[in-house]
Amino acid sequence: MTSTRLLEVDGLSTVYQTERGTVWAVQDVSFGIEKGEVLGIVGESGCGKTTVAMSLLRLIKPPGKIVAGSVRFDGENLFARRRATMRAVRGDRIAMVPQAAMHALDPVCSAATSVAEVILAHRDVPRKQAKASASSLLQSVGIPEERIGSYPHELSGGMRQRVVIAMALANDPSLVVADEPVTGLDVIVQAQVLSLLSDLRKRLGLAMMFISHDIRAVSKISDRVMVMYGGRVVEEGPAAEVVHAPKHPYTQGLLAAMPTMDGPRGDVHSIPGEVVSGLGDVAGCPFEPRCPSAMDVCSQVHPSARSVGNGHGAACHLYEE
Amino acid sequence: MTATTITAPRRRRLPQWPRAHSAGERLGRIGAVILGLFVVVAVFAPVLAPYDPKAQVGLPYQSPSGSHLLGTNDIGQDILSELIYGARVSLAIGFLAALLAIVVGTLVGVVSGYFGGLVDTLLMRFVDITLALPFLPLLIVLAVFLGRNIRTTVLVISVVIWARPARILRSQVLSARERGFVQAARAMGGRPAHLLRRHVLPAVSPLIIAQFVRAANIAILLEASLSFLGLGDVTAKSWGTTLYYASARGAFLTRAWLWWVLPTGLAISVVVVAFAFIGYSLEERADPRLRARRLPTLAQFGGAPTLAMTPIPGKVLP
Repeated sequence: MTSTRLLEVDGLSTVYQTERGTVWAVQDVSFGIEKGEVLGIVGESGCGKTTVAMSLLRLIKPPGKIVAGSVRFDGENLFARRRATMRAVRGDRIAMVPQAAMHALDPVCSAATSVAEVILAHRDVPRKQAKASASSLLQSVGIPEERIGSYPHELSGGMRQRVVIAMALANDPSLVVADEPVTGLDVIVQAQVLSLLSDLRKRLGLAMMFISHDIRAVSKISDRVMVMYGGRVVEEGPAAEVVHAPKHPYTQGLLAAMPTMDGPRGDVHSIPGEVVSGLGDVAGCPFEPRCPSAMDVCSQVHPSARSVGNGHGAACHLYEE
Repeated sequence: MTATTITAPRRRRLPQWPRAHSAGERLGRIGAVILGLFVVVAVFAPVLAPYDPKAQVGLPYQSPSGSHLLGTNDIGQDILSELIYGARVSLAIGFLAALLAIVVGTLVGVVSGYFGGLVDTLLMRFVDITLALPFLPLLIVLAVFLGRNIRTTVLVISVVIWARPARILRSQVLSARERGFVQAARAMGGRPAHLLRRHVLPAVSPLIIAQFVRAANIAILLEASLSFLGLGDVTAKSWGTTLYYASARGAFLTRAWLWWVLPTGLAISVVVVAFAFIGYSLEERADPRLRARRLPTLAQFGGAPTLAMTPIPGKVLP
């Protein structure tokens, strides 16, 4: 079981030192991704999704700091690597589709150049060859041939996102970390990008970590879904189960907040309260102040993850044996 | 609806000069035209100058006349020819010193801003010291110490002016390195040298150009000051050198200042103003926040540009 796991994150904690104290952006997060599996990470802004992704690649900069945990990738502990050699992993074996693809492209580099640069950063190939691979890669993600020399400002949002995806795929990574790849795109383009990603995943057998605040977008593409709140994992399980039979009150609230096409019309739900600041160490469950089913125990004891079904876990006192 | 004749919009016969979008842009164009004129004069000096500036071509201390439009100096050299040839020396020293200063300043600023930490602290303290030194006295000491020739003049001027571009570029790099595409390139495994050359440098290049113009401006003034004090290269007469001789040979005591000092002084002033115009316009482009302003104030020509954008410390990313 463990041997097939491509990525194994164990007890990851990342903090940010601020003037007001230490913010636990990610606290004791553990998960794994099998080869060829897509894991969706969901949660609202500030819940630590991006910090998890950045921590994997050790891209956390001061005042941020990874304080605990380990990341095993392909059997190798990435946190044991020398800092200088991390560069060889980034964009090669683990590729990132960064947040806000709109801004992820250098305005002075054409689409083909951007992709070629990623190849050249890791492969010792002639520039010409890199450009040629870049151009076929761009076409495979749906950029028409006459557009591959275009500059970012000449491309639409969807096209730019495709270019960024092509950049991520440039070196045949075994894992792609896609941080909010469809955020900021209109729904039609979102659907196109999502289907491109799931298509690529089938074609290339990619393992993917798909980060989004849109639980429905995530569930469409993921095998498993992990829900985060306040820097912790609150629920994890097979995508269909998490979406159709959510166990954690936070996941339930998140799903209820999504308007549906079918079903009765009514007010859009929202979860009362605001995301916790992550300042200081909360003794109990981070969701307790907003939780509709909060009990006395919730504010005192942090709930550990328990199994609530086949490969489905939730960190909630409701499911105490 | 009644039938109306629709007249086609009248065609413009002449291609229109693209319209300037702001006061700064207009000033920039004016500056470019003026500077262009001076550069042409400098380049074609042998064609334009009526005499060899080093040859004695008339009686000394002549007033302007048909054969010597600006008269002659104390040893009978043609002042107009001296003025025209002086443009070569003044502009060349200005450009070279600015180039050197900008290369060093960019290197220091970019490395400091990008890598931060101890490197940044050390380099910036050095910059602070350079900025804090009163530069004219320093310039004079260095010039006296190193001797008079064009090479040392260029070197000495760039030594006193590289620090400001370094500091300004550092601020801009601090903001550029947080830009999405720089972060993305880092996440995709770009080497630091590659990130700098390929992404950070182009992002700050408009500012580099603006700083170059500003540095050239200052360099020309400094060269004139040095030469006026008699610390320039006396074998290659710049405008400053002309002024030095004019002052030393009593031009101020007679009406000779009218044709000996005034045209040279004006040339320096006009070139400096042209540079200031261009510099302002370029800075406006590099910093859109300046674009909102209608007209530049005097302080903006001489004052430090405020392009610093530092990330808020302790900001927590989701």
